[in-house]
Amino acid sequence: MTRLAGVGLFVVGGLVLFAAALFMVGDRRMAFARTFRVATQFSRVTGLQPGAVVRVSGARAGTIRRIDPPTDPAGRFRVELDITEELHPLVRTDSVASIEAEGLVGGSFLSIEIGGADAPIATSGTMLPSREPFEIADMLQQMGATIVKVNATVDVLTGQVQHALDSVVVTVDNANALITSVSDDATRIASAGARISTDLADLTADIRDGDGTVAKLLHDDTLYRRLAAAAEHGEAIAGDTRQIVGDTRQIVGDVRAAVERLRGTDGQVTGLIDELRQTVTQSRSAVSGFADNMDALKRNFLFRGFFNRRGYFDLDAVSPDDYRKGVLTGGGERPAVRIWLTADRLFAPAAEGAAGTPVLTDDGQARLDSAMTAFLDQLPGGVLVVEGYSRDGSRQSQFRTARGRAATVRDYLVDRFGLDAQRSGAMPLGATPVETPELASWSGEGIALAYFSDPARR
Amino acid sequence: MADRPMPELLPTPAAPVPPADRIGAGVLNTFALIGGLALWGGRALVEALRPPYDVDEIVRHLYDIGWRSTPLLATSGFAIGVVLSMHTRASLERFGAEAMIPAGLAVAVVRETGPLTAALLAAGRVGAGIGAELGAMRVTEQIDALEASAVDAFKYLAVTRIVACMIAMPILTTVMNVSAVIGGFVAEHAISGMSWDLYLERAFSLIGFSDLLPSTLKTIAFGFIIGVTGSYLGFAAQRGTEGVGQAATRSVVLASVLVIISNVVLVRLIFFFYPQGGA
Repeated sequence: MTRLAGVGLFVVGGLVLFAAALFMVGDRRMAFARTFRVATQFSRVTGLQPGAVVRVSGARAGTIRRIDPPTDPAGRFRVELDITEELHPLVRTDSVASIEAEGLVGGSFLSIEIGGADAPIATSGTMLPSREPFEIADMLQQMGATIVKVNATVDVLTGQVQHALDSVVVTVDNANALITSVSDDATRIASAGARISTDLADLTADIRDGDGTVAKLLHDDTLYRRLAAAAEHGEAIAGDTRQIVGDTRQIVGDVRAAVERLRGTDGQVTGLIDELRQTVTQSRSAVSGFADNMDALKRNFLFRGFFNRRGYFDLDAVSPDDYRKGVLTGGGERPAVRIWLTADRLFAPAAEGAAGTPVLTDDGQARLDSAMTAFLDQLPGGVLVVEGYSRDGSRQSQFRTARGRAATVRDYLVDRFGLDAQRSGAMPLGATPVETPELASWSGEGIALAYFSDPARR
Repeated sequence: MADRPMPELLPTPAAPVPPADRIGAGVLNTFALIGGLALWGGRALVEALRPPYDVDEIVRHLYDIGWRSTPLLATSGFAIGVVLSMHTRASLERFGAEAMIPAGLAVAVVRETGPLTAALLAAGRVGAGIGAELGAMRVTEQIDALEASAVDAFKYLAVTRIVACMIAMPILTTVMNVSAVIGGFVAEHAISGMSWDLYLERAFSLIGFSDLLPSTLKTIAFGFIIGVTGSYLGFAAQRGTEGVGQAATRSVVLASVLVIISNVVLVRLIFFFYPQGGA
């Protein structure tokens, strides 16, 4: 082969191979086939691209020409596609287009179903109806939600079945216990019945043989005559008894008439009663005066300490400052035990306005009942003070809120546990609590139940 | 032509020299090389379009560069097709996607493996040949003799080879692609008994014009790079036979590196003009 022929073969051969490759690519892309163009619309194209394959009933039929995005959010993607004329008769105006995936790792392609025989053949520019693509991710999401619901249902059913089994087990246990206990009683009843039957048989035999009192009642006339005589004696005794009762009634009537005479306005007893009433009235007046005097003594600064140490004080007269200084502790003889409760656990939030008195919630009442169990063994005798606290707002606002909380809790406890109103009080302390070791963990919003125990009972 | 500037490299400094000086000299040499190549290539393009056209010389080089390289590239392409088919099968059969083997192999070969491998093989065979041939002519003063005879040595020796490379590369790439597809079919047929028709149908199912045309035509640039590099370094050869060897070696290395680097730029350009990479 000459050099020139070699070059010619090289160039021509290369061009032929390249042209063949181009032709094969073009043939697969239907670049040289006669086509007609239709369109369809989708809300989402899920990876469909221009150049993607179009299949009519599974057969390769063309390519996607272009995809125009919507101009507004409510619009849809417009997809234009070229389909070979060879499959034109299969594409009808009711042929539905859908986007599908070529396996798990393949790309997306447009699938067109064969239309109905009665529908007209789609012409160029026809807008084919479409079916929105199905996303595997959506399916997986729905499957996940379904699995969660199934798990929840299975959990509920498991709990109910377990509960039913527990009930059956308890019922069986109760039945076993009942049968066990009844079996002993039944045995005893059966034994007693057997003995009674034997005794009745013996008794009947004795009566039949004439032995014993009953047999004599049935067979002996002497006893009957004796009973008749006794009945006649009884009738005579009854007549005497009637006479005695009539005499007694006469005596009682006489006594009543005498008493009525004594009770009359001119009687001696009336004067005695009036004197007694006058004496009692004077005694009450004297006692009342003594009480006033004692009250005055308790408020006198000379005697106040003495009375306070003895436990005689008026809670209504104790100021918050005196209370903080420990006026109720009696110089340490009545140490206080405090239980702190926060406001958000006791009172309803809606009632915590500027307008009104705080309202205890059911949970708050339960917490107060639980807290009071610490003091119930020492009641009565000590003094229970409900300390009210508040840190929000001005001092006046703090005072009003603290007093409302303390008064509400005190009223509830007095009513709930029947406390002595004189020995239970409400103390509004605002934002300044009593110095105690527990103060570090106190939030400053709520109440404290302070119980000052009776030194004589400790 | 005596008045045309001939490519020159900076003289290698005599040892020992400080490291900073060596680095500086290396950097300057690199820039000088890049600048010389750019000027050489630009001049070649201009001269290639300017008559007279030395067709006989181009055909002669086309015979050496193209026709005589065909067995090498066809054999290499066939082997690459067999190996790619086996590798692709090992990966895809894990997912039960053996049907995708022809398409995957064809896409890999047509888009990247075929053009790049063809260019690298050509750089090894043709670039070394051009560098050695022109280097020998330089050291034996044949080029000087041509220029003394009023022959445009650049156009006669360099431009004809560069044009021949630019013509031969797309054809060699097509040969390599076809050989690789055939090699893949042989391997696939041996393993799964797949028919030729089905293999071709599946092989071209994912290939579009945007895969075939740009990737094949970009090898014209590869041919230009190979021809320019070989002829430049051949013309710059010095110091006798040692310089001839250096010119051949440096032609292969530099042409291969420039082909790989230019491939990155060309692929980016292709993606810019064909963003979908589809049809």
